[in-house]
Amino acid sequence: MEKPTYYAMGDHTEVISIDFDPDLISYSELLDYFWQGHRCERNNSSTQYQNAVFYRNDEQKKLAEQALKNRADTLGIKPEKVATKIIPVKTFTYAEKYHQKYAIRGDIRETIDSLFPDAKSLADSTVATRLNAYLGDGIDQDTEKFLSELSDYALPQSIVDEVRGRLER
Amino acid sequence: MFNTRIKEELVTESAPVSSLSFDEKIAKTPYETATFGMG
Repeated sequence: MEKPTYYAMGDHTEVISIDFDPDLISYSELLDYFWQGHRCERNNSSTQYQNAVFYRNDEQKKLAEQALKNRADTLGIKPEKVATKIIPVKTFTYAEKYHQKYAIRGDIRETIDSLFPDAKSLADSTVATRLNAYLGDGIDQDTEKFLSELSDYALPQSIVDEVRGRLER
Repeated sequence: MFNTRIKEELVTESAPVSSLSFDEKIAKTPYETATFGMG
């Protein structure tokens, strides 16, 4: 299927795709987060929600396979018992805009949407990614550092005020 | 934790991803991409 949508996904899988600066964090470190962030002993029967590393080159494949073995060792199981797949990326399609940066909700969403013309620009924005991370929860957050950087983002003042208000509560 | 570096050729976005100057600056940074399905 060339153009999957949320309601017609064909054989596509919902994924998170992370553009990262390898001088700041390595692929192996991201793999560590991935393996710690899901239960690898069982996999979902639907392709849409399967657990998988989608590698982009031989090096990523090699690192992912080694990480699988390490995870199996940590869990005390044989690597063959790990159900998470390691498969190559074929095509990647951006999810619809309303699926992007889901934690940016409420009064500021409309203004954020107006700053980014399409799903790709919203998804690829570092500013929007950080807003989404800090307005959501469940991650290690250095809120003070984020708030100190907020003025560097040149966002409309209404957003700055709203975000500051939410995070300082 | 591994110490191996990815040898993939780095790419740079050719166009700004948004009109925010911070994003424009970040978009010039070479990057790699990691893709995971997590159920």
